Amino acid sequence: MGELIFSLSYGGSLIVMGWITKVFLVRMKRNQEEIKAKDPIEKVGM
Amino acid sequence: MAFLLGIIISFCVYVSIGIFLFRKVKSSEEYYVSGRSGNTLMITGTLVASFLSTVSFMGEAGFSYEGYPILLLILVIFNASGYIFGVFLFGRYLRRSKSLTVPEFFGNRFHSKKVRLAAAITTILGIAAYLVAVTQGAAVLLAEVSGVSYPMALVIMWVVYSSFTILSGAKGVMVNDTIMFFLFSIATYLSFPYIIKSAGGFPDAVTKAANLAERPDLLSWHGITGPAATMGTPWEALAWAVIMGLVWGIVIAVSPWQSSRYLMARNEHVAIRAGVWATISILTVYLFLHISISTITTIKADIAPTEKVFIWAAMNIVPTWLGVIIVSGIMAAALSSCSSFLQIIGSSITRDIMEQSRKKEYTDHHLLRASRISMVVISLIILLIGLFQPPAVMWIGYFAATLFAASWGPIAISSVFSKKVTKEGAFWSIVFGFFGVILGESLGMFGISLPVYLNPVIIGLILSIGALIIGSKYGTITIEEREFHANILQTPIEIDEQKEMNITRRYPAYLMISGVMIIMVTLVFYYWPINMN
Repeated sequence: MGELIFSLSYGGSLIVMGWITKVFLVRMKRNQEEIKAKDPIEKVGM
Repeated sequence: MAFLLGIIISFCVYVSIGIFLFRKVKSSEEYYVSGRSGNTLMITGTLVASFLSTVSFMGEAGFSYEGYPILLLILVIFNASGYIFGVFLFGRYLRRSKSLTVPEFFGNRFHSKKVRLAAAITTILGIAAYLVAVTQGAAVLLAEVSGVSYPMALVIMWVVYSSFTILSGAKGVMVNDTIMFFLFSIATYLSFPYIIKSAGGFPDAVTKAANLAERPDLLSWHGITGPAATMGTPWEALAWAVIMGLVWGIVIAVSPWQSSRYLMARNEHVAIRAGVWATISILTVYLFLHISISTITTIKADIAPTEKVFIWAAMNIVPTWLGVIIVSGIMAAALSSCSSFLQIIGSSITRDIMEQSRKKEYTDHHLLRASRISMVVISLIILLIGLFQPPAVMWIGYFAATLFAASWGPIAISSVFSKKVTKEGAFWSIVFGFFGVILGESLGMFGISLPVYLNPVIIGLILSIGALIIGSKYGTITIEEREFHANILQTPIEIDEQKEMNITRRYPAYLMISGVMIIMVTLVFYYWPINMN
């Protein structure tokens, strides 16, 4: 049983990481849109 | 002879790249952070190459061979996540600060030379110990392959990694790391089918390894346990893997030799994408490497010391051309870590200690020269320590690396997400974390054995968090600190932001697709064969 859980969890961790990355990117995009809304003159990357 | 020739050719390539790029390094920014011009491939290469070393291909391979391949892979599940959490919670903010070193970031964030100095000293001591362990591992390998004495092998290693690092700084390290990343990745993937074939073919090799009389439970989820084994009970083994995995995850997220790679990224999107590829690479390389290693037990179960298991496979059971690639790949993994470590120590000594102890700043030209001189001196000291200290690749490496989880982990995250942390809290957090780990390790010398959940790193982490909270009750937060903090929280918007974001948005899918593929590989090459009976 432990071996099956491991087999699914090892690659499964990448699927979880994919969701986490997606959440971070959504928040990053939202943050950028807030900055753009406050300051319409585009800021170039630091 | 073929092995030696392969190593000599690869050494010549690395040194030549160092000499070629020496002419291209015109400023301290190029020398310290490669002009902040790294693309996704190069940042991925340098992240993975500076992480994987002889600790991985020798120390951990030996541990796996002794009976713990799956336990090690469970550890990797947790540590590889450090790339995703690291880049989103620390790395990208570090990059925004435009610092040249990580201690410089802490110093500016808390507007404190004391904090910067504490971070620099822990960097130098921790990485120097790690560098000694990795260099020794590589020298053991070189001595084994070439037939030269161990001291001579150590000197050859020193000449190679010091030369290109001192000459070309981060620029050469990044290019060489990328080449080395490809070399050891190819070595791992290509060796898999050949080792399986030599061990009886698929799926018999895995089935035999799972039922081996000399290594009962080798391929069970907990590995070999019991009173005479390294691990006590299966649950203690699991607790060890999870705790060490989490600790290594923090190491990957905040340690200077990992987080500083983001300082070289061209933009924040490149840093994020490299973090994603590094996660996928680490999980894939480890899976293939440790399934291969476990099947070697069916061919020869008494390789000693066990740290030489992958080298033994390269020299005895795969075709010579592949053996040359494997041996050169392990050397590459070692050299890439050595060069990154030396570059970080040299940069920290010059930029964070020597320059800060003077009243005035170095000119760019002086900074470059001073950095090179300090790297020569530190590399000589490392060489001397390596000559007189007996090699212990995995455990010194684990001790030195995990120091950073305790002493830097709490402060790295709170430097980004807390407005209440003061310089006093930051300073004492670093100090308590560092000495907490050393204290925990020292208890073993007095015969005191700690339970798994009280690993020295956990002691260090608890002390570090405590010091951070209590210390932050004292002192005030200056305007400079508030301004710096506000600046790093400002999300940058690139000129071609939409295009960059469109590319980065595909990366969660890359992670998920890779996850599904790895599940299939694990089921086919591990779960199915061990359940065939």
